Amino acid sequence: MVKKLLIVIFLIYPFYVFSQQEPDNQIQVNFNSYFDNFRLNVIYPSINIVKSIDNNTSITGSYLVDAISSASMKMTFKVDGVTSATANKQGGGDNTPDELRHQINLGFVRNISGVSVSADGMYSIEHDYSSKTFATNISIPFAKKNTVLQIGFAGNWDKVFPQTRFWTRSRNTTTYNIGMTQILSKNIVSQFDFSFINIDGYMLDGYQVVRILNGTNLSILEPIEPEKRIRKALGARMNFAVSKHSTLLLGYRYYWDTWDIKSSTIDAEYKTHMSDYTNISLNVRQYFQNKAYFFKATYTVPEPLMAVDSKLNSGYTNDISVNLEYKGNRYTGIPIINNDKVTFLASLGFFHRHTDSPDWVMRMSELYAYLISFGFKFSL
Amino acid sequence: MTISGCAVVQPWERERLADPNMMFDENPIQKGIKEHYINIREGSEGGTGSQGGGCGCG
Repeated sequence: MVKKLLIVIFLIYPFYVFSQQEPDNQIQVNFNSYFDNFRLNVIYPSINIVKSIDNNTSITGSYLVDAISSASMKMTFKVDGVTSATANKQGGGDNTPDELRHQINLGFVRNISGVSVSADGMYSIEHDYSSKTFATNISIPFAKKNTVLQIGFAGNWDKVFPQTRFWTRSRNTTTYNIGMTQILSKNIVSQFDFSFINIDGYMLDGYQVVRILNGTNLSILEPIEPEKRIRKALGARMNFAVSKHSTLLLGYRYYWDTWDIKSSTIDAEYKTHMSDYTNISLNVRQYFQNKAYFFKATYTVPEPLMAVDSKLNSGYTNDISVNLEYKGNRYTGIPIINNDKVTFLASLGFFHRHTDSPDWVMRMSELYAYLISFGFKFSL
Repeated sequence: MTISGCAVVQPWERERLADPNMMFDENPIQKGIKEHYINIREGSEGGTGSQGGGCGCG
């Protein structure tokens, strides 16, 4: 049972990215994996297709599966994390996936007199969570395309029905996004972005519990969090052409919300063409946040608001990743790679998170995660 | 021009800007994959920008 605690936090975040660029006709297949020292192993393959149907319109589609290997779910603790009372006898010793999430997207991008309009619908389902998303984006170029204004909207309608509870609850999210991409010179392009996210409803992980230890008395209660959250973020990025073959991107984001979390993120990415066919990038990112106003490391009496989620704790994260792209070409003489319609993709990432008090279930303050992804793009 | 408040870089001056590496989030699928795991481990979300940039020639 306790394994669900880790699974659910991974699965409940279906992703989408605002995009206004009219894409090329292609199929992209990715095989992604995530492993961390909290014993969560996830494999999530995805396939994405873009196909133009006329000179100004492309349709997009994708399918993604999150698969969690049960072999990774052998938990450290001998007690059940949900009740904290019974023995945890199910360790997930076989090699079959315990959990699967399926996600399907369908959308289009249309160019109308230089203005790009896109819309995307998404449906995600798993055994204890479902999510529907509609996202739309418009990008309007100005000043001979030196300036591009981007306006985005997304709505999420989610249902939460944990297997260990007897209820179904809703969570509705509305995201507004406005951004501007600005060419500053022949070698510098910048982007400014503001997000406003309003969330109403149940925002907890349904499998978490709060342990209240008062002397020798132990009580187990469900966490209680506010049912409304307004999140705002302001980001700025600049991309510099530092040489004929290399670029350097620098970014900063400031985030604040009505739960009193404030955070700063800085990131840098260096990209270079190693050859006509090989492109490599190195990304470094650091993130700092304070805690939500109701988060406490321990509780001794029941309180109106109680949270144990480490995401709401104060701490910092470090992230470093390397990405490699190799374009197939006829000169290799190697089958498959000699096809110039194919681009091979690979990335390796390392993520570290420190929280100022130990995680409520794993009892560790340091999370170390490894990400490996590889795949290919095929031009249609 | 009035919106940007900056000197306009003409299309024929955008050789370096046309490099795919000058585009923000050139591969939005990879960006989505990365945000997928970051959002579950951090308490913040949003403000990460959108795909765009480059030469604007498209």
